Amino acid sequence: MGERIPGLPSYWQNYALCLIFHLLLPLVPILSETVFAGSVRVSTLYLTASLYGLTLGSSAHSRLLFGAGVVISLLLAGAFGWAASLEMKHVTTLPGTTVPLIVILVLFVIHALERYNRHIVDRAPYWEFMTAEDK
Amino acid sequence: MSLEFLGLLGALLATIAAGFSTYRLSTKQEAEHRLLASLTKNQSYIRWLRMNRNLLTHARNQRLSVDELQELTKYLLDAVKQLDKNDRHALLEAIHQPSAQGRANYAAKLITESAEQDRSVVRAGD
Repeated sequence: MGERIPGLPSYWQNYALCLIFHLLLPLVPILSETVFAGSVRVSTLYLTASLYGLTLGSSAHSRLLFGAGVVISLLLAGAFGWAASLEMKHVTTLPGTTVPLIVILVLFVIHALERYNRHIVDRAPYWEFMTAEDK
Repeated sequence: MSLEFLGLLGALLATIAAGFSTYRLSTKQEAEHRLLASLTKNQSYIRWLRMNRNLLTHARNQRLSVDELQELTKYLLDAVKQLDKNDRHALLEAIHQPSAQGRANYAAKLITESAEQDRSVVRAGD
């Protein structure tokens, strides 16, 4: 008789779900613009990074990360406005996409570490409102 | 000031925040190691584990009863009191997390890991 294949522990499933819903889905607009427009504008990257930073800050359990998230978001919102104005003026020497992509990557790492702490180390369920206690 | 400067400032702050996140993660894990060491030295806790053979099975299946969870939390809080302030802060955040399901899961994880450190308890639980 065959044995059941062991499933992934529930806390790893929680973490994987969190990575998909919290960290990857907000990046869909970048993919969408790349697919439909052929390339992604610098302003789109800064706007995504700004909102990503705000999400990170607002869902953090640490006061310092909350503050950092908000400040990072404000800086990148400024950069978004600046980049958008350059694009509207059809400036030919626009800055590259490297800096906003690095910011998005670092924000992803911060959020992934925070969520690792919460779902793997602390074993918090994801989403909390879908757990048995609410039924 | 330029557009690139704003972006780089954001990147710098994000890198500092990433360093802080890594620090938080490592301190939490070190605090947990110290908590488990303290628990396994507590003879009263080890005796309680040996006397309640179903506890480990319940913990592994995430089916701890309310009474078992209350008793376990009492032992955990006693052990946490013996640790230093930073360790206490990191651990209490998890022990008193908002979700009841999360609190039960965390307690189940600690009881399982503490039993694995004391092989005699694991043998009694099997």
